[in-house]
Amino acid sequence: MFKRVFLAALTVVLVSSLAYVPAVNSQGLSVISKSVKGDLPADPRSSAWDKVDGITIPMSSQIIANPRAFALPKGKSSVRWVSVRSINNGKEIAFLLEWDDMTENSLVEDTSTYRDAVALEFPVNTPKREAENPYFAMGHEGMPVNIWQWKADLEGGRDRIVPIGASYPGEGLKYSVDWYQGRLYQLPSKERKGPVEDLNAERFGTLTLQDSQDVMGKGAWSGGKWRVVFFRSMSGKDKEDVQFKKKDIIPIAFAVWDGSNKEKDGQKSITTWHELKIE
Amino acid sequence: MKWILLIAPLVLSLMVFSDASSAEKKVRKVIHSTPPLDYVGLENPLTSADPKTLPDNDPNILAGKRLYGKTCAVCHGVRSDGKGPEAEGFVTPIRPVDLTDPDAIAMLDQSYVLWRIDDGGLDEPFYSAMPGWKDDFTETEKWQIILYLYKNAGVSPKAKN
Repeated sequence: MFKRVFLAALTVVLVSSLAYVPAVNSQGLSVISKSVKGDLPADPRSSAWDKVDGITIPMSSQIIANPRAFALPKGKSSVRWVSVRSINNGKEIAFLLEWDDMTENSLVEDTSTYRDAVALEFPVNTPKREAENPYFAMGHEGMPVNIWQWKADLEGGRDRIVPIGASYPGEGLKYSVDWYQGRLYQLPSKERKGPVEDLNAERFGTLTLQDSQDVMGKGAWSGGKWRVVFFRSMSGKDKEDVQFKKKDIIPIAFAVWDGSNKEKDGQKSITTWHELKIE
Repeated sequence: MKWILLIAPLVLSLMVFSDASSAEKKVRKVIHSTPPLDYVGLENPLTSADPKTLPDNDPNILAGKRLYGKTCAVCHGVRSDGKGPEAEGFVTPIRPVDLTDPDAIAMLDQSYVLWRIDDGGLDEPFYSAMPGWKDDFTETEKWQIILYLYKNAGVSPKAKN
């Protein structure tokens, strides 16, 4: 009898000690990219995602740079957490992001309507030490970040060609002035391949669409929840892109925009750096 | 003998959890860097009194409370404990500071706190989410906030040498 009680008590202690993990340490939470064989699920509704454990990451309003989230209708951003799963097959890596949003904002007809969106952020060059991380909010000079931003209004092939610098239809510079010739000329447009934009930034206000758009994705809204998949080759030649290798540990951060709360650009929910561990 | 078998797991359990707790304490980061010369020795022009001893209805405390509630409390919390409603997303590399912590503003003089409010923590060596508020408040407002920070946290500024 005592042996059984002793073994049971010892088991409880061991399980409890293994389960004792601080909610957040100085490196933040860990997103594990599970190693699998074969094709990755590109559809957010695929049952293959059910076999991948996710992690829930708390989010806060962007209150660092102007325009701060204080100015939003709610006085803050809407989304308080994002669930993240990742999977890789050694050649490609995919992420599934999920969050609650009671309203689907997928149509942006003019600058008075706002879209739902979500983004992943990585340092372009993985630092050797945590202290060398770029600044978590859009990086800083000499330490660029690679941002993958999915926009709800780009699903279904809408608005794939936009002028450089345009975040919303009707925005951005379409023309510039050639002062030597004394005439206007049309700025080149960049073509998106899908609903995800592959971007770089080196601080607030420097967000730039890359010439080479390498990230694909797909989003689906149902039952008050968005599910968005991002996928990309793990490595490539584009020096503006983050590169992934097996066993890498890479800083990762997140942002979510709720169109129904008029969230746009810097007015959003954000996280600081967490870590992505690639199996 | 049998009682030892029952007590041993409990002792082991206490050891495991106290170790985890102390390990967590070891990673806590308290950074008190050297402020620029412009800030060294600055005194609060509103009062020379210890802010902790000022009455709740002091006009500067009331003004500081209003400003703190509008901008600072979302991260640092209404109780100054670093547990405001926006704190959870800003956890790395350091959480919003618990201002009641004896290692925080109680170790600093008011001029140092003014520097942190002005510059925030975006740069080396802090890299926190704390923005710089230099252009968001007047000088008087910043000193009012500082008075309220100490008053609300229930701590006094570092004594002068």
